[in-house]
Amino acid sequence: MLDFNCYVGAWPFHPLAVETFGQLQQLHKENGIEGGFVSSIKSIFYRDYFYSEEELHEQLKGSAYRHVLTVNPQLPACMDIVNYALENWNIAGVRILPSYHGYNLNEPALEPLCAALEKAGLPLFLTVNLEDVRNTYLLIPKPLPMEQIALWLEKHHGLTVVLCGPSPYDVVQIEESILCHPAAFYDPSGMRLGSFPFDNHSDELRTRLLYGSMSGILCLKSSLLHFEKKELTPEQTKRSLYGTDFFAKCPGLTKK
Amino acid sequence: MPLIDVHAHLMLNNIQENRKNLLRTAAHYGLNRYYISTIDGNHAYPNEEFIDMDNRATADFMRDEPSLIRGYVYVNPRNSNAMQVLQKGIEEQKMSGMKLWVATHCNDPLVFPLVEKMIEYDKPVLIHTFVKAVGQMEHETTSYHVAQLAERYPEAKLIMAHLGGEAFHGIRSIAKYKNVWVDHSGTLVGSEDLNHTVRLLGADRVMFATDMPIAFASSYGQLLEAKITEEEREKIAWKTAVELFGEGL
Repeated sequence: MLDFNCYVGAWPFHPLAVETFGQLQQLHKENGIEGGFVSSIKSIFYRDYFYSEEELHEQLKGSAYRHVLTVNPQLPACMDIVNYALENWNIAGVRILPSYHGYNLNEPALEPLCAALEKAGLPLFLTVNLEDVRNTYLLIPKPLPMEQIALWLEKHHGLTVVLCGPSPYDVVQIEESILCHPAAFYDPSGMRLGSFPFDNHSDELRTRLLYGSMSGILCLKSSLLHFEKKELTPEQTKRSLYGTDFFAKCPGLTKK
Repeated sequence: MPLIDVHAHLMLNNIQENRKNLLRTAAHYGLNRYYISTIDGNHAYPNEEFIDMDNRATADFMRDEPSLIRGYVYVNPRNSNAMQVLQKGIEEQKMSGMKLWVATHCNDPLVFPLVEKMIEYDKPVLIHTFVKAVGQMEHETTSYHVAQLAERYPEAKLIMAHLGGEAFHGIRSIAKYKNVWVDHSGTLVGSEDLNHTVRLLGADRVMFATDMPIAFASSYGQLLEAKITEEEREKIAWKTAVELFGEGL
């Protein structure tokens, strides 16, 4: 089992139960998760995130975890860091957070990043939601309209995309765009509403579900429970927790 | 581990569907009891007619599912019949507590006679409490208001819902008031929320809750993952509620 959406680092506004890589590994071990795709919280808030990414690279070295680079494409050195990371850090994808960094998906600086990832056969992790907007302090994210995500997906069929943290309704709202896309996935970390959030997700849509918890920011168990309580078929559960379809769409992940 | 959810709802515009959902969820997770109130998301200031419909829906569900459902009587303190509604709810409809939502801040003088009556009944008052970076409602209670009410009525049993909306904003301000309990309902899934809360209040003042039909797994996951002792987890899951309501399983 893998966790395709997790973080290490301190959150600037309050403590987290899981802040270090060791704590994340321990939490995963307790829940039967053997590895994951990890991003740096520091990099969300740094203008020059080279150092925080280098730190994450060093932490993950030799482990079963993969490094997801966090960038703000509007910052001038973005592509320099991306290219360095592609050549030197064996990254497993790139994360963007438009709602925190104050841009939308029409941002021109996003395109070179998408092109580089497409060429490398690596995924883009598009953070739709992180913490609950109501609970934010000092920095209030501006959520991306789902219609904009749908339009953007339609123009980027060559890129593997993971939508991180959408609500159950968000996903249903853009179901057609997800299913028309050859490699768009979504994670359950934002599936907080309703006791059976996948009830309205068709079997076809569920093939795009990729397990991600958003720990250490959020409780891992809150999303994993839906799998442990068998709310999906065994086949759907397996594909989601092991990323079978996702790996098939990311040729760049197989190189080591 | 037994499980009591001290904060769940029926929504007036979707009662039958909500009832099914609550029953299905209870069976799925092995939940032993809900304490529910019926509210209407379209009416922050419900009139007497709507309040009556709300409380009848709660009483009907209690009657139909007596082993699973207990009720709060929902009161709008602005209505002239608020005291009669409270008395009917507790004395005739046999409800276990009073629910306040967003019609007034909980420290509004309109609320005082209702709280005084609840002290007489020796039953708890569940107070919707939420601080929001966006979308704060005009009369939505925050932990500041709960602290003031607790100071005024140390004999009242007050439940501050939703950890005050944000644990790192709400918990410390009520920690010194031993007559305030909290629930962690409402799609709160911060990894440290419950640890912080138990550290400041102790598990004797924290209760499992979900805000059903809004959510369930977010709260249950928080409870299972919290870095607390198994005895503390049991208290939050059900023992604290049994003690506070005086209603055994």
